[in-house]
Amino acid sequence: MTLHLIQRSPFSNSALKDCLNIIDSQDSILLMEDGVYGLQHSLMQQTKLTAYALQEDMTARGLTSKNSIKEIDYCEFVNLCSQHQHVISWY
Amino acid sequence: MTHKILIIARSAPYGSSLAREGLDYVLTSAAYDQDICLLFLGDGIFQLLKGQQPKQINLKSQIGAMEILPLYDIEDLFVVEEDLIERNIDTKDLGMKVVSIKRAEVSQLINSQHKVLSF
Repeated sequence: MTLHLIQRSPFSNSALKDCLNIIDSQDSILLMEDGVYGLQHSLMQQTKLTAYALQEDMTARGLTSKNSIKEIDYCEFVNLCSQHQHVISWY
Repeated sequence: MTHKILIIARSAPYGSSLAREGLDYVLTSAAYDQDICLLFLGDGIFQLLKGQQPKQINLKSQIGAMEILPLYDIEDLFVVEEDLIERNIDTKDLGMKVVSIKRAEVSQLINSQHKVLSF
């Protein structure tokens, strides 16, 4: 079970696409930094995966969650990291 | 203690320093007796192309530097088959001996490791 940290906008970087290509259905995704722009992308709107977005980074950029993507804060981020066997950064 | 470490290389070689930094990490870890394997994914595959001549842009050859990997007992180099096809690259265009795996097999590779890092 892996937590994938998406840290770049999917509109200018392949991080999200590369991650979704190889992700396992048991894995989770966390959108953070410019990765939160993924909330606006069709790739995230279609996904059936467990997905989170870092609330601080969303608020900073004026974004709101539109679908099943759960907003979390830094404390919950730490919890998520400790609950997963691996944490991989995509940047 | 020896850890099984997977390095995911997903940066093309000369547009940023990431590919080089990843290789530096690999060689340093191997010097400390860690069990390293590499997965080339997405644009990272371009690091493996034969015939790189970056002297013209005043950089050192990535594929040239990787030829040292077998001396560090690093022989498990994986590439993602679909990413090769997407980039119109055949394994015979590559300068290293690699094993092609499917996208669907990558999570299994990740799960078999102690640590995973990406560059």
